[in-house]
Amino acid sequence: MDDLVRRLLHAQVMLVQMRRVVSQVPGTPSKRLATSTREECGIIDQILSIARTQTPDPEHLKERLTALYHADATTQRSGKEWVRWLAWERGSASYRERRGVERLLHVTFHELAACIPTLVGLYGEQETKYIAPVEYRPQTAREV
Amino acid sequence: MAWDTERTDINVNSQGDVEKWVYSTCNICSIGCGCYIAVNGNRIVGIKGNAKHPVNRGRLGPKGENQWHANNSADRLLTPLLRDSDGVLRPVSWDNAMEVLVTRSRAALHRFGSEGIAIYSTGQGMLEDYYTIAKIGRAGLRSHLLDANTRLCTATTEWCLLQSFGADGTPAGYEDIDVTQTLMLFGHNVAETGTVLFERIMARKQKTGKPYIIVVDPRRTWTAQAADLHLQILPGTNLALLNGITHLLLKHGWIDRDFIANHTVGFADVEQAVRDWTLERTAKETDVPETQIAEAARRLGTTPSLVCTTLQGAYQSVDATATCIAINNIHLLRGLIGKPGCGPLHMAGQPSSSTNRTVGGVGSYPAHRNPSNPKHLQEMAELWNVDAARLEIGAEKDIEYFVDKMERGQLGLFWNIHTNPMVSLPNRLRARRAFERTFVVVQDCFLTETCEVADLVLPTAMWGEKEGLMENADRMINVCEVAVNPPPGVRSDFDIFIDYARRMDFRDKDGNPLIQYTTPRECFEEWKRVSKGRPCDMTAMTYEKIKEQNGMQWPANEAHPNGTPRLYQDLVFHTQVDDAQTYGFHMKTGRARTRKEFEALGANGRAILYGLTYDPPAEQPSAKYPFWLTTGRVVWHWHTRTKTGRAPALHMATSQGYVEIHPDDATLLGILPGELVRISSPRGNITVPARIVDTIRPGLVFVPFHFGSWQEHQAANELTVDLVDPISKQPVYKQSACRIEKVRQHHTVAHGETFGRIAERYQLTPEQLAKANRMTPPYRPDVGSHLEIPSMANPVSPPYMLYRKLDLFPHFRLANLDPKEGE
Ligand code: SF4
Repeated sequence: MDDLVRRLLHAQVMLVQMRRVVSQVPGTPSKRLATSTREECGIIDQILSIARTQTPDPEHLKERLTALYHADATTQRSGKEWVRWLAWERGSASYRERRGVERLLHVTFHELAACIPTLVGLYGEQETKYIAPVEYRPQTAREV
Repeated sequence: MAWDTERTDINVNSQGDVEKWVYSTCNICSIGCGCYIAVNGNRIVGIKGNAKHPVNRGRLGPKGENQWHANNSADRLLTPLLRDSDGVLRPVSWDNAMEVLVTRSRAALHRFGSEGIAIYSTGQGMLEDYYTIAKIGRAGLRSHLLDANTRLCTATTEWCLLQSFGADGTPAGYEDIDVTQTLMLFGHNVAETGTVLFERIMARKQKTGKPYIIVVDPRRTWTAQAADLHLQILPGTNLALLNGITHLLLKHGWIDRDFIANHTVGFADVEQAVRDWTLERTAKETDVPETQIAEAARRLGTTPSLVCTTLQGAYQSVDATATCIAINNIHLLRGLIGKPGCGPLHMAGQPSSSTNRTVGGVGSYPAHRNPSNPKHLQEMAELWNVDAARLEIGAEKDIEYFVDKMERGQLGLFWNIHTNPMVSLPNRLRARRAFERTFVVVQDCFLTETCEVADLVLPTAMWGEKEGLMENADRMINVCEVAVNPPPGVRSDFDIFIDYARRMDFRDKDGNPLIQYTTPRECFEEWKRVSKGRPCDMTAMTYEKIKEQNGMQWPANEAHPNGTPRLYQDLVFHTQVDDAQTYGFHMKTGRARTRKEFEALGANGRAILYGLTYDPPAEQPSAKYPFWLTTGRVVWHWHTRTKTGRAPALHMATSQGYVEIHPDDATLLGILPGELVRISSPRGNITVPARIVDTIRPGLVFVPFHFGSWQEHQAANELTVDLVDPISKQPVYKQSACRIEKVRQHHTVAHGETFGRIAERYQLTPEQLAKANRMTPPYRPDVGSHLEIPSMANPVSPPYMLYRKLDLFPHFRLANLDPKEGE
């Protein structure tokens, strides 16, 4: 659980930074990404407060974790769109902002992906599939 | 039946009598016209409409009656092709091709796991093909990466229905259009995209004056010209308009409070969301006169019956799903659903795109099962006799997700079936770069533009050469029979899938082959078992019965043995948590809802109303790109012209791309009719002739997206933004920014050259040359002066209504409601 908390806190820092960058640029993609990061941060707060209770309710935690992973899937998608859009809007002058947001997205994604073993420990592999979309889960080689 | 009269349209080109007429269904658009295929000596020689079919009573549109030419095209693919080490596609045997497909599939699964293979299919196949894709993809490959070009076409239909009503399936049908008092065609240019339905609407209109027709479209299309009220909206403001209209419905009390209380949840959210959408604000945002908005609201608010249709003007725009939900909201607020002449009819584009959604080749699990509901997954596992753990969980993935994976080198194999993404995907140059990083399989009848990036090409049978079922836009299942044998060397899609499953050795949990059916009819029997008890129940259908009835609308089961023309007559919606096809998305963030969040809505059989937030398009005209760009179809062609481009009449009618420019803009830029111009966006540029028309708004240009040859440089999708709707993930093709530039040579006037000679040399008229140089008579350029020389083409596209004698021609005038215009 400690590892989960630590990673979520780190992801939250990334999301706050991302929001700071995108809020400098007016436009619908910025608004969407800001909304999504704000929601994701809020969900992390909810998870942290559940995790900090003496006996966390596993079902409540699972439900909020499900919301978190889906919120991040939205952030990842909106973030990639934002990066493409900014390149069209501002060209090469926006390189630093775009790279910055790409990095923040990448770190956030990997923090959530790195929490999967903890989730599997808490809920088992099958239940974890309902929490985290496929892209966050490690893919095992398949022989057919 | 809608039509008073039959009219059997026939297009036959045969040396001798037609040997037989074979029962079929048009394979072009989603209207679903019944037809017979003319056969002479194992060759398709024509087509005629099915006079008894309720959809068309014998009528066919220009695309429908010319579709058979492609079957006989000399450039049909007749052998599989494999790209060799020199980068050249070379013929190989079927055995070789299938082994390559299997070897590559295994390698992709080995390297990337189940996320290593993506299947991207179509809206033009058969129900049995799609169901087999669903089974192979989900239970065989265990993948979630199943999408189709339906993403570009009708994903928004699906998602607006899921969000509002809990399951796919459009509530109203064509029969409702026949009796409704008011019809709103929202972003739906039915005159060009669904010609027979347009005739059906106008046949009644001419006779009775009904329905009152409202059209919302930034272009004054043929449909708009037939409307009583045309709202020529500013691009990207669909939701603003609907929020404004909803505001007026609430303000004037044009709502059914009992219906809202008994059959919906979420009303307070709607009230809150539209509170500030005053008439003034809406008019300002949409650039539609207040009087027209007020009249539209009054009509929608007081009509006793209403059908609203939507198509790409809604689906391929910003706020796509929200727009279509806003239309559902209007029906729910007024209680105009589930009764004759009432309900939203969110259209489909392609002839069987709805089929693909219904049977799970794309979207959720088969028969409207929720991929996030363990109960539904367990049902599927039992029906397929596989472990539930083997089935992937969670919402579907889409083509943009695939492109992103390809860009990152994370996709081992991309299997492309009957679609041409190198012409149809937005920002196609980016897509091309991504495709080049993956092993691409193209399954098609022709060497399409996508074959340019293919590693393996599998040639297939076409319509008329294979058997199967298709579902049209109003849930009607229709039969396509085999008219002729496919040419030697090609196989049906169904055969390819069955062979692939066998070679991949997919098995169920008892060790038996996963796929045990061997014919489309056996497959349909299995599908019927899968559909039992679900919204799209087809247990009462058989091939024979469908043919006998000329189509059946689902659900067709014990309770409704002859099918169901209209959904939700009992006003019970699919929003019980274990009935719903999805838990849905949050409209504000685009995030998938959890089960608990869905339960918290408390819908339990009631429809869901949403408060909706308008967001303007991401890309808007700027100093560098000062025009709006929108894309779309012309009446003569379908999609990327793989079939229609091979029909002589259709090809001759419109053989090249063009751009429509308003006369004011053309004058400002000094562009001549027919002159070649360069259209650029931040993503690329194309060169096309200009059509100067006053049917388009000033500041907006229109480019048809059909023309995508790599050589000719006319592909609209070299310009479009690859941004998508946050809920349906449908691309926003309709709103990009662009710039228009003249593409002119320069000529220096020499001694002895006359103006007329110079014009003649460049195949121009003196008037054209003078106009291009803004000269007035007498035209006497000085020696040594420079003249601009435009390049001209002829982009005229004739209106199809003149094509033959018709029952009617629309000649209704737009209600002139703007006092300023009236003055
Ligand atoms: S309206 Fe559509 S289904 Fe009917 S003939 Fe035309 S293309 Fe075919």
